[in-house]
Amino acid sequence: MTDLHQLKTESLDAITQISTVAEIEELRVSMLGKKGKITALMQGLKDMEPEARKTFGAEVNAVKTEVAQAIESKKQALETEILNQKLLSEKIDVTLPAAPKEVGKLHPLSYVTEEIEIILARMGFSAAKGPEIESDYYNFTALNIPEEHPARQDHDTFYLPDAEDGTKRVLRTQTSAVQIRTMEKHKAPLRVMGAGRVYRCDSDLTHTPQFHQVEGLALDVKGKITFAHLKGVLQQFMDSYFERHLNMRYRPSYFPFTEPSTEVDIECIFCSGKGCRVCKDTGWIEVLGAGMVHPNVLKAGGQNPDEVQGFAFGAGIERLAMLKYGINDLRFFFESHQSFLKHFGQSAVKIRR
Amino acid sequence: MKFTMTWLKKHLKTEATATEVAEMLNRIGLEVAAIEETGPDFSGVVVGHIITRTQHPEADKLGVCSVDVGESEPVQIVCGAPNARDNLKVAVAKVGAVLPGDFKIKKSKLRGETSNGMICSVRELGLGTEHEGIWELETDAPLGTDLKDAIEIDSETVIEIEVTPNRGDALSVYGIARDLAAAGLGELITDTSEITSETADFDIAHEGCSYLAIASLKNIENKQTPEWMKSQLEAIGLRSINPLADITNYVMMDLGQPMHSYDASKVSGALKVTSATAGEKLEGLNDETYTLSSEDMVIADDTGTVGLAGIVGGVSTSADETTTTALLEAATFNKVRIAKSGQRLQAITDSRYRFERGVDAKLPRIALKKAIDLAQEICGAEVVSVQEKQASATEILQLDFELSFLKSFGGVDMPKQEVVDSLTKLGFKVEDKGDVLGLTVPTHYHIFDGGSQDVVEEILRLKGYDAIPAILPEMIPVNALDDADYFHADRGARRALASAGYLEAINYSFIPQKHAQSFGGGQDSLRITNPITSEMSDMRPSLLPGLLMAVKKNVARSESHIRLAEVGHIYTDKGQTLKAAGVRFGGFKHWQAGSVKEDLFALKADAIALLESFGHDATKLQTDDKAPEWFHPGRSGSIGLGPKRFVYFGELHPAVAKSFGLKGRVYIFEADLDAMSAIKVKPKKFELSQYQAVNRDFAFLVAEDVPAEKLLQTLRGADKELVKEASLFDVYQGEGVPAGFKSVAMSLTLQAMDRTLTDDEINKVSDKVVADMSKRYEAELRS
Ligand SMILES: [Zn+2]
Repeated sequence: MTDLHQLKTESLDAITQISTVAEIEELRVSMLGKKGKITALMQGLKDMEPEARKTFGAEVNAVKTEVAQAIESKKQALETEILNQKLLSEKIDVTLPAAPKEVGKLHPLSYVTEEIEIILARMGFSAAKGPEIESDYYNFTALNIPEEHPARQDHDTFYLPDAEDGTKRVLRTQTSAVQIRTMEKHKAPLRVMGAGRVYRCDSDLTHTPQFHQVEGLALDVKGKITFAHLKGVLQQFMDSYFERHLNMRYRPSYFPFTEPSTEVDIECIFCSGKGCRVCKDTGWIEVLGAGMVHPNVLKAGGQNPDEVQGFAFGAGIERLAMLKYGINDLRFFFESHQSFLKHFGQSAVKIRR
Repeated sequence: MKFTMTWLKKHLKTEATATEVAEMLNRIGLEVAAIEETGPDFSGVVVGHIITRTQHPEADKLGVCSVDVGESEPVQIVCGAPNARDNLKVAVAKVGAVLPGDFKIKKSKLRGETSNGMICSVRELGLGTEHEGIWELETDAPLGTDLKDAIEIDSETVIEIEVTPNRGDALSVYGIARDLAAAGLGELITDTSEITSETADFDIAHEGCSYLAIASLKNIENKQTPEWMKSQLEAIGLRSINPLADITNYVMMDLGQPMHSYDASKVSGALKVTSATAGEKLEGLNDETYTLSSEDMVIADDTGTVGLAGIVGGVSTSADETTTTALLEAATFNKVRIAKSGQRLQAITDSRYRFERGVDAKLPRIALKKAIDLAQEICGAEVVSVQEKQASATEILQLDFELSFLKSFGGVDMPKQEVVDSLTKLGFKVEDKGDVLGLTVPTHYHIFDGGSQDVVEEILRLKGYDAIPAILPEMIPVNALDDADYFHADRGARRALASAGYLEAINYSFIPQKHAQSFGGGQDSLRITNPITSEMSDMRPSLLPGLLMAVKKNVARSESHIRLAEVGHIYTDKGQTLKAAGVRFGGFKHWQAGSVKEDLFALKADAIALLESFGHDATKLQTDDKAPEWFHPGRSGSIGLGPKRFVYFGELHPAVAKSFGLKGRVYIFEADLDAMSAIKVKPKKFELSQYQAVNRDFAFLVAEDVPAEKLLQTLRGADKELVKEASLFDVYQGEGVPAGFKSVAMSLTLQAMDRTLTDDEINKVSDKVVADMSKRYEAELRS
């Protein structure tokens, strides 16, 4: 009896002293191994009286279980500690900077052009392109701006030497030339948009000699498309682009290629029409020019003005980009400063909702 | 076009304020550019009281005044005015005040006495010409009150409108008043009485002039132009010249009819309208000398040309302050003729501006009457004769307007009566024909080339465009599907390059001539005739010069790692081509990666990614080592299909880099997006095998000048059916490899769709690889 208790105390005391996995294994073998001290007591049972064997057997078993459990938990504790120490020794400074990922960006004007194209495409407009070195005919004459027209003086046109066949060549001053080229190829009903570079011989704080416009043209048979539809499309265009409903104002104006013509203002997006520095206290910001296509332009495009009518509109893309994204200097667009492009550029994975 | 409210009210009876007038002008299409108040142009001037004036100890003519300006202590001001005296109310410009001419008042010392401001005369405040002494104020306003609040100063509201080229009718105060009256803002009260005349003894020998009237005046006393006329002219930015010139200018601004006044004593014989003699010179009143052509229409007397018709009068015969007998001319000239002459001679005058936009043919008779009346009133002139001649009849435009068009085109419904009323108010003669209105267009409209559309404009302009509803049109069938290319090529390339890590730039389409020439362009046909600067003279033959300039600018701004790309057009004699180009330069340092430098193969990967985004199969594209001369000859090449080259890539030629001020290796590529999208690539079939794939690695010893791509193609071509992938994973030269050779290690992946490959099959392919390599490139398998 004493033996048993002594063995238990001896074992449990030894466990508290042990500090390595090898020692604990040693203890396990010396107590519970084939030749272990507790194992020996178990083996001694078979020589005992049945009654005593039963009582003593239970006691030995209990001690055996208790010692085995103590050894196992000590072993686990030791192993956990070893692992912890190993992990601690692997510590790295996670605050070290990661290698810079090269994130490219779309130019803000590219992104805004896409936004506009998506909005207009939803309303059925297909994209069309035209040459930037344009003939005097497509840029002016076909758009109802004959040579002596006073409007020509407002255009600050860049000229190139005449073509070999004598054609007068200019850098297009407006995307409207795309209208004529489209009408020559397609019959009404049609809806096209054309976005791209245009050029004016003008350079100061608010003008760059190169800028971008987007143009829309919608034609249909007489009576099917009216000034009211022009207003509908422009309202949708502006509301979608600025992502909220905006009040709009249509002022009569003049463009040689539309009749009637209108300049279109949106309510100032900075002060909601109350008046601020940006809108010069008027509450309005001019963003679009538009009108019903002039019969002379329809004729120049090979359409019959007695059968076909429609509307056209145009907007400056830089202005729309500046208003929406808070870019305050026009000249930055073409300076290619990486800091500007990183700041105002848009992610290539960003898609307009 | 500028006008004052005072002037407007001579034509329009209205109670409207300037703000209301401006609002209406905007609504009817006469855009207001500015509303300005003329009058006091000073600040910081207050009412003060000279308590005492004592003699300046050092200067006889100066006094030292103690002035109460409503502050706790009086201020000391030195003043030289003879009328400065004790107990006088005066206008005091305190320290910090600004007087007309941007004259800032500072604290100063005059002969040893401090002066804290200035006591002002009327002239010093810009309120008149009186300058005999300081202004003696009569006001009850408390001392220290701002002078502008203390006294009533005459001020004038000037409204400036931007008149679009179709609104020649609104280039006069009368025209503006007429439009405002039609819009309901008041009543038109213009005196439109006309001359009574005799038959002319002058000649109109030019089809560009349809009407000419000349009044002959005598006994002109050269009085001053009256203050009221001077101030009105000055308010709208015209300088007073002499009474007769002022009268013709005034009438032009008032009614819209350009006129001219001659000194009759300098004119020989009768005036006539005729063609200029080619090469003759005219010295204009505007200090410009013009060399005329036979296309130009002139006014001539017996000695020759005396004026450029409708554009500018000549110096030799124009009236001046000594004139006692004068001729006043009012005419109608053809607007296209005037426009063409004006353009050719680069003559910019108020007269041309109006004639080329159209002057109402009714105006000369009214304007001449008004000018004669003013000359009588102002100069005491007596009328000798008034003569006129109508060479051709005024064209009257008539058209039928279908009332339903207002709805079917303008999108708005209006009762017939309202339509008739607005057209009548605008000056149309309206004949009711039921569903159609017979219209006679008033002669003051000059661009009326849109027929019924013009009529809709006029009606809606008065009605206000707000009356038109906003309605979305119905969808129509997709019509021009040819925009797919645009979206794929242009928009797609931008996104592909941004995804590859580039910052998209947009550079100017025009570049310096020397850059154009260095990149294969610079021909005369692509040089702008009138560039903004010589740095923007040539249409770019390549996107690269612009990008390289951008690299330079960024380096100057201390950017050390550059990765810029652009998608845009380049220009050649054949037209424009859509291209994409990129540049990588410099690098960055990182604790883990060390010093990372851009290199050629990073850039090549971008070019391949761009090609793949167009649907091209990278394994089918061929790379060669040929590129234009602006590339490094040993470190550049092109990627394409057969003779079609899509992309040039490599290192920028060091000499070119140097010309852009760039030090170090610059990596560039330029891709022809039009060519890339012109080839339609068939999509590959997708297949997934259920059977095991096997890998075999090879190392070959091969001559160092054999291009790697050839070896890869050989590997890939070993078996059309079974080869799934071929890659190159090591190139080695050095110990163990003979000079002139390289060791190339490659990996081959084989897989069948329908079976597990047997060792026999695998060995057969391997053997073929070894045999092909040996046969084609004398490559030897290394063991
Ligand atoms: Zn605002």
